[in-house]
Amino acid sequence: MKLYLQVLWLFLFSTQLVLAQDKLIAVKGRVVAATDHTPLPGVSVFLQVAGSKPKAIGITDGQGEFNIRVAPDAKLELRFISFEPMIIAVNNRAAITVSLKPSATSLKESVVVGYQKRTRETVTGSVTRITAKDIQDVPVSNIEQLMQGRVAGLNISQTTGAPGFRGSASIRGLSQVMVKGGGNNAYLTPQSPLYVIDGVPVDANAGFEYGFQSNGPGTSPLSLIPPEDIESIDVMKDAEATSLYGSRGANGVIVITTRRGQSAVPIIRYAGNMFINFPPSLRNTIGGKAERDYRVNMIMNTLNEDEIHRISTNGFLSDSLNPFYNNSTNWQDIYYQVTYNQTHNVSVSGGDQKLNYKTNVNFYNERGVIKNTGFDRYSLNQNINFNPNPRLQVSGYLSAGLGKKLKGSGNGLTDVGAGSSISSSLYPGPSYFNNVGQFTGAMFRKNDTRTYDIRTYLNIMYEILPHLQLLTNTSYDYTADQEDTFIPALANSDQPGIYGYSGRKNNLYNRSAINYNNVFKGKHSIYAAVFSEATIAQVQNKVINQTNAPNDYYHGPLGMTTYYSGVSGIPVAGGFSEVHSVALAANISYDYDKKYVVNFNYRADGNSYSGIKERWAQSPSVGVRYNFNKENFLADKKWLDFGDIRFSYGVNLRPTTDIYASLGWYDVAGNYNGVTRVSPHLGLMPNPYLKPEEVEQFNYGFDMSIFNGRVGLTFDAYTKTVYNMLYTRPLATSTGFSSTYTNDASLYNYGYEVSVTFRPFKPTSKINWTINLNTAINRDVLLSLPGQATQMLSDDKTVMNRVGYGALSNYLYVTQGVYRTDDDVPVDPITGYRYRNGDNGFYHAGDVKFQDVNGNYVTDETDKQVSGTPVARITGGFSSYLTYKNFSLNFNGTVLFKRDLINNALSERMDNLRSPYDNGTLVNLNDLNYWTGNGDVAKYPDPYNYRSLTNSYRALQTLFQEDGSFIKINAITFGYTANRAWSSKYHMNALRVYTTVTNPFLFTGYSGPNPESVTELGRDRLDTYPISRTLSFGLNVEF
Amino acid sequence: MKWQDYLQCTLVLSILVTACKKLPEKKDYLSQNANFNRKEIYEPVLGRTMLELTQFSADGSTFPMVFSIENARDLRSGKPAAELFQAVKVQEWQRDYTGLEKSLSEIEAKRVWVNAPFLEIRKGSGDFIFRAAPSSLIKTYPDTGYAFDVKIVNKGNERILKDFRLRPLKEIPYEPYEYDTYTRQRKIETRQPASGPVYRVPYTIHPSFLQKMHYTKDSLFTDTLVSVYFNRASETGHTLTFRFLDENRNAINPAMFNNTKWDQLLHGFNRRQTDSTVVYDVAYPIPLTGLKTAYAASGKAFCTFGYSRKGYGGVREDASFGLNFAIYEPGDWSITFYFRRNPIFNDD
Repeated sequence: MKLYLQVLWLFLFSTQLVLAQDKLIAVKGRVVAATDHTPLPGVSVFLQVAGSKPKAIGITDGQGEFNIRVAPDAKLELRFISFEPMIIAVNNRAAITVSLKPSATSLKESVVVGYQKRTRETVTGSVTRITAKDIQDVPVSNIEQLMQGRVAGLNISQTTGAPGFRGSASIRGLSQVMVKGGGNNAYLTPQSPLYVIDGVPVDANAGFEYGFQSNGPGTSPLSLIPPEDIESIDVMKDAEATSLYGSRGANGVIVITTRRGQSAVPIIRYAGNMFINFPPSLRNTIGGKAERDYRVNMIMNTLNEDEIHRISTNGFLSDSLNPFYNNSTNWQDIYYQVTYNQTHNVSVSGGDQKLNYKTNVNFYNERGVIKNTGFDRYSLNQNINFNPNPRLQVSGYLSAGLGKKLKGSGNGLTDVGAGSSISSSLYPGPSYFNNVGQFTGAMFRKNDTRTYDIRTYLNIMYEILPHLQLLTNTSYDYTADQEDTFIPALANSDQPGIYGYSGRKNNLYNRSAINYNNVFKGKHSIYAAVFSEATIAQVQNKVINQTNAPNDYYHGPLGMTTYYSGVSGIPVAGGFSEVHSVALAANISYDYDKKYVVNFNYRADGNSYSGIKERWAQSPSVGVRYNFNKENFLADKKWLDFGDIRFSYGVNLRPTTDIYASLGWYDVAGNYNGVTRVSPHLGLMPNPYLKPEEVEQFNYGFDMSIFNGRVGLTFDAYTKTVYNMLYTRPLATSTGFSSTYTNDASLYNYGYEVSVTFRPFKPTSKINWTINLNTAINRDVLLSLPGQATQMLSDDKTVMNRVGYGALSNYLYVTQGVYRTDDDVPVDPITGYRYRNGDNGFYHAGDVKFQDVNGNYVTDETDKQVSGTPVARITGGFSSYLTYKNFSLNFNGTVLFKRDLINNALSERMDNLRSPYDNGTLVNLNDLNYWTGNGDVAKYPDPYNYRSLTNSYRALQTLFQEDGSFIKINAITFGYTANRAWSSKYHMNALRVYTTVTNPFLFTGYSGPNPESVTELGRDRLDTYPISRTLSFGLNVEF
Repeated sequence: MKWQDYLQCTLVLSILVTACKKLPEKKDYLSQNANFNRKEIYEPVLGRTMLELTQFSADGSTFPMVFSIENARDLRSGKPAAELFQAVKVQEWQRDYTGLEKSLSEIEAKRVWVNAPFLEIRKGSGDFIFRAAPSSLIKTYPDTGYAFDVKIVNKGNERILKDFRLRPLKEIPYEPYEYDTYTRQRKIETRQPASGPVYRVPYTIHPSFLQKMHYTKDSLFTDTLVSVYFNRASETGHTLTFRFLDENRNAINPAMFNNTKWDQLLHGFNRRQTDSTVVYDVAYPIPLTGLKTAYAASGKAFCTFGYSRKGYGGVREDASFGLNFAIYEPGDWSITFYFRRNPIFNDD
């Protein structure tokens, strides 16, 4: 820690201001923004040098001013991010005022593609940028939430509202179709894109290998990045853009660049938010006497002697006068709360072209709307860039983050307080020992959950000869996950329990490159690079579970005894792994006068986890671009800012499994004749020919901007084929193994992405309004399955993968309404039986009417039909950014269409309602159109007939499949920027106050609470952690 | 256009074409292992309408499927067996039989007469339907019978499962039946008395259960001492008569069975009781369906008779006997219980 502080001091204050000038006249300049005439600090001032790159000679200070000495006829170039670069001639002037226009066209801005910075004009792939402006003003625990709805083709879902947890993210449709787990807990293999944070690849998943039974904190490294510190986010979608990121880039790459120092005068920025989380509207439950009456009536209506007798054997139903059961507890009210939270961020940055630095300190504190849940973030990160001479650049980076989480009793995606097993309102009894276990477990469980993440890199570039650079980047990322949970005796069958988790991950990464770039005859630009990459990633996770601790006050550690210890490692799915990978890559780009651009990339990856017979995998890619606005006949058209067409093709690889899948492992299997036996682990058969999955993409792009940036359009069409897709293949039992992984499946996606930007007002107008709309349409088709099968079922035969169709389909019983009367039920003319479920579940009036697909008058497995897909076919978003004088009003939203959800929550809720003897909450069903009596035309079957064997409220039927389309407003922000004249009185450069409402509106036809907070397979769980509405008040100050 | 333009066009076109992918045909899955779990020789008994659950195992194949019978032929001659599909007049259910019907007409209102073939396959599920055809129409054992194939079709697939065997059996009008299903010879009963050698006698029907029935102060009836005879007086009626005979083949007055719940004995109506018989109007077959009702379970009707008397030592003896049976063909049937000893009805 001491060393750490020293480094911090060094970074903060070792600025050097060495500027040697020897030219003729002194020029004093001031740079302001063309829109509101506020000064722009940190604008780079370059001197144009004939036949060479512009030379950096200065940077504007906090007042937007610069002082330089140049030749009287010199030409200066001013560059600033998000503004149009401008070239001005000095013309012997001593004072210049320059107003920079915001870059409407976004064409000149540079993006980071394949670890190199390039101007957008020469990018042949499909890359979309999100800037800091887009993501400010909303306090969130995970930056992914801020990217929602911003980029066509990037589909982000907030599947949980639990603070600090990550939802799901995918780029361009499905990349995997294998479903693991079953029922509510079925999940799709994560298909998260690769995150590259300041040049270092980071695995954004945390604990996802365990599915819903997550172990440990499950805090994603993304949650430890303060949004305030982000300069830009580049989302790369096609293979050409991602190819150089190699094996992990196949699901798309998201490059996050943090802020850097730009101003000679140190700038101190403060951003703070106070925000209030409001619980969503809660379910309308039945309490007290009403609940008891409801239960008793339901039982009495069965007219069955045995059932009625059971009332007297269930004390909470019959003994209503006993204070023990004479309660009316509103449990939801006890679980949910309004919380007050805060976040503070301070950043100090400064420096010039030779040396600049930035330090950012962040604190974030949020308590969830369910008690005993929350997330705190402490983070400190800093970077320093040092260019002692034009040939050498050194940059270093250090980031340390601590995420503390309260998990309640849940595992993040779910929490009992959220609804699944809230107790009956007739409980609890009046004694401490009559507690309700699940409640005590959620409220009084003690969580101490920490994730430490330390990320650092050192990047050195040296221009050994003109145009030839050597570059090396070494990074180390260390994450430690720890959890200590204490479960009080009452919540754990009178035995205090202890859960301990300790995990660490580290990732050592190096990339070394030789770059060559040159411009011949002023028109032929060539860039060529060869680089090598090596990664060592290690994971070690451990779990200890103990029960029977002495009391509720001593929280361990306990020694191991057979009496109270259950010590377990975590299964191979993620308990231990060590992966080594090396890669060699080459890249050549050529452009002719920025008009024709062509890129070739090639990369070869060798991975320790791929099968020993298939170690190496190649990924080539090519991209071309034609900037047609540079054609002579268009060059003089003023209305056209730019226009281009792009094409790219590439193959990417994706590691899919672990080393065990290709090599297998050995078990110690007891003794034989006194000799310890070691035998192959049966179960999963190793496959030495296992290959990484291969993703091949074609991308066609078109960009155009007209009328000075007032209308912009980006269009992409793509096809994406996943070959060698991993699939579990069951084996005959005679092999001794039950299954193996093979590369037999393949999947095809195709789609279109459109992004349109409008600016209704002229750039000179006082009103600045930018509207962006984006949408993506994606269709997926399964090309093949193992063994030439044309369909496979998973998750207990509820999810079907079919060749030639969409890859994932719900496989459900088809509901055709509710039987109005007994006579509506068909009768088998041969047997004289009514239509029935199984052997004895004869359907009667009020039961659900399932389609009898096979016509045998029995509802069975073969009556299931493919009936919808959990994959959204249309996704998109919109945003509006409006400023007038000092006021700003922004909002953005997310759109998702054509997705079929299964409202398991409703099914589960009805199950509770139909269990009169069980201790569960009864939710009022006035909102449902259910069958009440003979002749009723209803949507839902009779909820009272709990003894029916027809299983009318089963979840896996089309009655509960609903369209999950929604339009959501993510956030609305209203801001006010103080007049500069006023704020400078208090020595502030800028002052801005704003208020934001997140999740204010959701438009949907879905009957459940939120069509977004469902699992990736579109199952709405009753115990999903709800997404809360937040009101925040923010303050930004810059000194 | 210049040649460069042509080149450009060709290049763009060729790129566009390479991205196109031939998508696989959209078709259902029909497993090569899909088959009938029961595929021995089907031996339906004629004269009854029944559903033969074939237990088709789809092995993951996609429903809906369409099953059809193909190439039904006489096994020996190989000629098409048209008689299998010749319409016969049978009753089919329109509404479900519940066992709670209050009159014969109420039951009959739930059934209709239809003309339908003897052999049919359920289109969607592959179950076989055998309707009540007479043996005058269909060849029966010992003839080698018939063979047929089953065609399965779902979207994009077709499979033919070959050589199903069908060898119907002659009618069995009631059960238990005294004659062998195949040979139609009288069955033989083998008995092991408490003492003495094993003996064999021609088979007769005995009560399904029998308890506390005395023929002397200390001798209980065994089932061999009671025989049951089914007799059909006419083939068109719809009555069922119960008769009880003593050891001299004189009628026992049914009123002697004073513990019998005559009105719940079976699903019959309009009970007419005389000194020697009890007659009901009934709907055939008995039982009407496989449904578990107050009168039937597991496809058999059960009727229980009983009487109460004071036994030796003042013990109340509730004697009873009963029969599980089925009658498949309509008619004026009678069931006669012949007691080879005189039961004691008086108090001791």
